[in-house]
Amino acid sequence: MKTKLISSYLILGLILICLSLIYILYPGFRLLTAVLIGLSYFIWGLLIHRQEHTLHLPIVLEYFSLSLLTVIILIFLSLRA
Amino acid sequence: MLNLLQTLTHLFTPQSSNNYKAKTLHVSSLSVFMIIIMFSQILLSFFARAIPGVLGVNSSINSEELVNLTNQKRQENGLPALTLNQSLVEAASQKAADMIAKNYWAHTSPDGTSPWSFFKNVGYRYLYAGENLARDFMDSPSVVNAWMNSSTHRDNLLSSRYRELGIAVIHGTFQGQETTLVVEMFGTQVANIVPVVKQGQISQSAEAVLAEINEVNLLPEKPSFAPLAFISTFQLTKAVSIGLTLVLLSAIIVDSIIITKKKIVRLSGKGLAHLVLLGILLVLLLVIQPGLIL
Repeated sequence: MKTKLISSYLILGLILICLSLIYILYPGFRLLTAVLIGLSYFIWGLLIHRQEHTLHLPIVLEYFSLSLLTVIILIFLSLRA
Repeated sequence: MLNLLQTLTHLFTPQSSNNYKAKTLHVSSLSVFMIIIMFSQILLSFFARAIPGVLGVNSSINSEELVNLTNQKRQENGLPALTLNQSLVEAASQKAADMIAKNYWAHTSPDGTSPWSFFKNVGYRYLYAGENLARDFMDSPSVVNAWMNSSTHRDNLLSSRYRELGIAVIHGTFQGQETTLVVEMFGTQVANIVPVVKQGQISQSAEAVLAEINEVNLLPEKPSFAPLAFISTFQLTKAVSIGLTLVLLSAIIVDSIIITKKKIVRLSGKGLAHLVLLGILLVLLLVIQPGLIL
């Protein structure tokens, strides 16, 4: 169970690092990458809590809010850059 | 003082008043942050238009430094330095003025005026010509580095076809925002090649070669036409975003430590995952730099 959780975190880290590199290296894709970062985090949250049978509405809203906040910050910054 | 302390603990530590989760991390608080960010961006755009000259990009770009940096890159790659040509400087200035007057960010204007028209306007008879554009950068090295990191722009910068260049740097209101526009034009005059190429072939090849080149650098030498902005909207947005991210990171760290220490069981997302996301967001915020090239 613990190994599964660690590997889940590694997958999340890997996905976010890859998307971050694309965000930095390819300015033309910043808006799309920003959305993908938020979306992948939201989906990761849903999957991990579903696996643990703790997927409830407040948790879904928490991941959704944090993902959306991240996307909004990155999009506005990209538009100003 | 006591009230302030109570508010801070309510915002950052899990306790009965916030249902054992730092209030800052509640969905309602996150929604407020989103609204604040969106509202502040709308306000920034409004003020940038209402009070031109205050908000925008405050850059230290100058054409002399850009010429030096361009030639430095060329020499590092074993290429001869380009000489500054006043006709190209004038052409670059005209292109920058045209982009501002017609409010477009492209090599070709909305009415179909190509970059090559500006070469012709100043009487520069070219065999080869090219153009690179940049905007919103803070300093000259950032501009040249961005061009060097783009294969098409680098090809222009390091082309052995070119003998001369002209640069225009213009500070002003562009597309509703104070910014710095850079136009760099490269060229080789027909006269420069005449001694080594048969006369009859030059005029035929010029247009053909030109059609293949789609990179043009425009850097006006003229001073700014509007006062420099002293507050950068990008830096302002970046600072606010970093501040907010740090607040959220602090709240998550404090919240997670207390929850673990007190062994509180609650229904919540993964604190560590939130830390990973916000940590990466913080790195991106710190790394991202302003500037667009074309």
